[in-house]
Amino acid sequence: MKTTNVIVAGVGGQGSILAAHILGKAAIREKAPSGKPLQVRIGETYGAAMRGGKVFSHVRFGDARAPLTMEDGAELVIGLEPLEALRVAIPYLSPDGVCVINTAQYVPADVKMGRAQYPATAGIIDGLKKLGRKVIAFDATAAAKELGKPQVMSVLMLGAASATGMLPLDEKSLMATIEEEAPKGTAELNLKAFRRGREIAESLGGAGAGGAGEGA
Amino acid sequence: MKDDLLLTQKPGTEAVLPGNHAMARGAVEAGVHLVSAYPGTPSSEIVEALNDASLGQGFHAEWSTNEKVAFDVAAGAALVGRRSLVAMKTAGLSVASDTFFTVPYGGVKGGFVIVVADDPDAHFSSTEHDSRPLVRQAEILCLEPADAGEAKEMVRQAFDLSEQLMLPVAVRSVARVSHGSANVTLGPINKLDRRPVFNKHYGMSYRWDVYGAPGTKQKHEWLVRQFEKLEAYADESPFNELALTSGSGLGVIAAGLGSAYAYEAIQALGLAGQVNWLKLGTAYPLPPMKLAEFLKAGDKVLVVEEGTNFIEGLVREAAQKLGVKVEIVGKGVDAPMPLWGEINTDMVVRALAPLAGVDGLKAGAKAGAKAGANDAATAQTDAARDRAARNRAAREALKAELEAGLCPRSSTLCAGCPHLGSYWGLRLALQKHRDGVHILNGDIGCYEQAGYGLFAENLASTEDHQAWRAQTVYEMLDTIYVMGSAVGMAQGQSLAGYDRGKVVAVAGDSSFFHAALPAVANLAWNGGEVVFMVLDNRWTAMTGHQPSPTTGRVGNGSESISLDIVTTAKALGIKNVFTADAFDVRSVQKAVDEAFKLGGVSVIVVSGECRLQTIRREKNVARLVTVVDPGKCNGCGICLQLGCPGLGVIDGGKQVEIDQLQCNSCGLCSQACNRQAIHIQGGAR
Repeated sequence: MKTTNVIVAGVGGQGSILAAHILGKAAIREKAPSGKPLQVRIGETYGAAMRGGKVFSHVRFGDARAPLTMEDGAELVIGLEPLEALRVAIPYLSPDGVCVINTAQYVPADVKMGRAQYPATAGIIDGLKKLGRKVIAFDATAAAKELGKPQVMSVLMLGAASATGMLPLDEKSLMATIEEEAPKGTAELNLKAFRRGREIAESLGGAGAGGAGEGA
Repeated sequence: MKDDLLLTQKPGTEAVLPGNHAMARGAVEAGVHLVSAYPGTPSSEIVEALNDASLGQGFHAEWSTNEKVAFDVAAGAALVGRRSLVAMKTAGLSVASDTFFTVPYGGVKGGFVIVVADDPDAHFSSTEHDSRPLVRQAEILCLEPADAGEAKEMVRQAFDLSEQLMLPVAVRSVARVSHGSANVTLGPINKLDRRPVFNKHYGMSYRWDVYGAPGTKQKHEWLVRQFEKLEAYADESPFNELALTSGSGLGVIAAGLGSAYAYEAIQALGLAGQVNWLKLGTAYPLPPMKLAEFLKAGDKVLVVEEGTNFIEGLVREAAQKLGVKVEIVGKGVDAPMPLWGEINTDMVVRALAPLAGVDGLKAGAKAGAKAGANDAATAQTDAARDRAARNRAAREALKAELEAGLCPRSSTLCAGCPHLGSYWGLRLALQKHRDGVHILNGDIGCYEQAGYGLFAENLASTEDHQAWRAQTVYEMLDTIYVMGSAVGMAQGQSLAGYDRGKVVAVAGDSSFFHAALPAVANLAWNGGEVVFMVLDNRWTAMTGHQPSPTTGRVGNGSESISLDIVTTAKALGIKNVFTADAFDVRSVQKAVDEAFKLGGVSVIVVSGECRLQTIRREKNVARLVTVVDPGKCNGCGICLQLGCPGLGVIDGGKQVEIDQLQCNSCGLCSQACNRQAIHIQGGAR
């Protein structure tokens, strides 16, 4: 069966691993044509730092065996941070792929200490457009702050990603998984963030972005 | 992880689990009685999960002081007939190797499973060391899972196998299996009601005493003769899979995670069902009959594996023994799959395509340019092929251009880390000895990041005796190897007569008890001119905040004693033992000053709890806020050299700003500031 490859990119502490695992666990609620749950593989790359390091999670649905997507093989990149979205999109984003990114920068220590320059966000978006088919970009951190808790940014981004139609997951499966996986007492807020992300992506023309997409 | 994963989950439940949690579940399903480990990424989560479940399931789990001790503890349980598991990273197997090579001589009674997580690509490790050749030297069975589902089954079955073979069984994982998640079907949890027993002549005289009659050599002979049972198992193992296709001369042998990449590469090249296939779940020994059948069926073989070319070597040996003429291709220096780093599907595609005589373009269809991404797959004409090639070149150029515009994101210590204060104090003390070329020897733990450098800079190599001016704490450490090595190396530098600068060693509290103790004794005994700083943050923080011997708790959370480093160092014969507070840089500076003045051997215990743990526990500390006085800050940037990720510049570098989301109000930046421009609000620390 078809494989769908998604990469969640972010910085340690942003919730990218949780987001990837929500996607993976939601797959158990989906049935493959074989009648078995939709199979999933998650491969994670992160550095040694407790916080503030690059984190990439490859979430692969369907007939995947390997933890990593092939070069140019990701149909969807969910970037919780623009620089890390671009860093992972260069090797992995499919020419037919869609990229959903949070434009809020998480500035690396190298830049803070004056040893490097953070690339301009406009340039990052432009690069992503050249690498893939479509980019949906907005300040998800600000949107999450409006809901009262910046920590729900990653779930808000999942909402935006689900609006693209690129995920082989029903909205209901995702919401049920979020409800189950959200830290105690935050389920309602996280569901609200998910819906808010969907609305924003739809308003930016993200709905059905996957329509013309072609799977690997 | 869901708390109930190892406790109550019903058989038949479908879960998506990381390999490490799947292996923990496998141990519980097998009815494990004792588990032990020293934390080491990428293996830590196995025994972390088992520690969490141990009280509920009624077995013993522990974080041991090091892997050798963990190994001995688990082996002891197996000798009295109970099931035990020890888990470690690659480096841990090196630490445990003395017992590891010796226990197989008499074997075990209870199932004894050794999980070793290798780290190809050295994501979290000092080396890319491959454990499989060590397992071969130990002459025991080595299983190698391809994913989390297989990892759970292998660990579960390894206990039975160990008891049948009367030998320890090794399960070799790699980072991407341990940390990667996949579908796992949970099985029933078995509770084994086994009374521990001991019989010193169990089936062999002095079975558990390598020197006892009939003697060491005879016990080795017993071990060597067990090998045919290992091979018999390998031939019938459900984890090995042979599929021959008629008429194909080409075959792929793929082991563990390598089989996942190889499977996908075969699919991507459109070669499914067209090549012979031997998937290996036993990395040692290989299944002799299946391998012979495979080798006789073709004339070209690609070997796909993660790590060194271990399997490839075994295949070459087998081909030579069988007298089969076959071309064997694997890893190489300039080959598509190099002898360093990790592999992936694209590398296997590049290795397999030329052997299969398949147009590599077809394989690389997805690498085509945006406009004609799939041209290559359907390219029938020369013109179409040319167009596809041009598109690919254009895409590669685009990637190179975007890559050049990226900026690095170097690893840093956390905001509020006590190590920032320890290093700042050391730096202040060293500033009085500006002309020296000091040697700061590092160890393994969060504090090793003081040797990572900031990667934005290109460094060129230089002549001997060049003094490097550290601009941030991340440029301070000069040598880093393994746990416990800093002290001995510092002593060696000193005893070799090095006198162009100070010789310093650092290690954490967990490292101190892991492998530094014998080195400290040696320091007291054989002397030298060495200052050894123990950075006691009270946790094994880097691997995920497991308790260390100074925490006052054991792995399952119960209270225990807190070992005292000062008393320990004194008991080991160190006369000059100083103490300092990591969050008070002047106290660190003062202690180092005094140690330098005294000369000889000194130990400085710098205490300061990992700030993340303090913040998690103490709400009043979490409420503190640190602010910059804009009237006083002139943007000199000295505080930035502290290396705290909570600090940054605004206003084109004229002002320092504190990132309130990251700041943990430790007060170190206010101590680094020369203009009293940074203050903590909400009371002093």
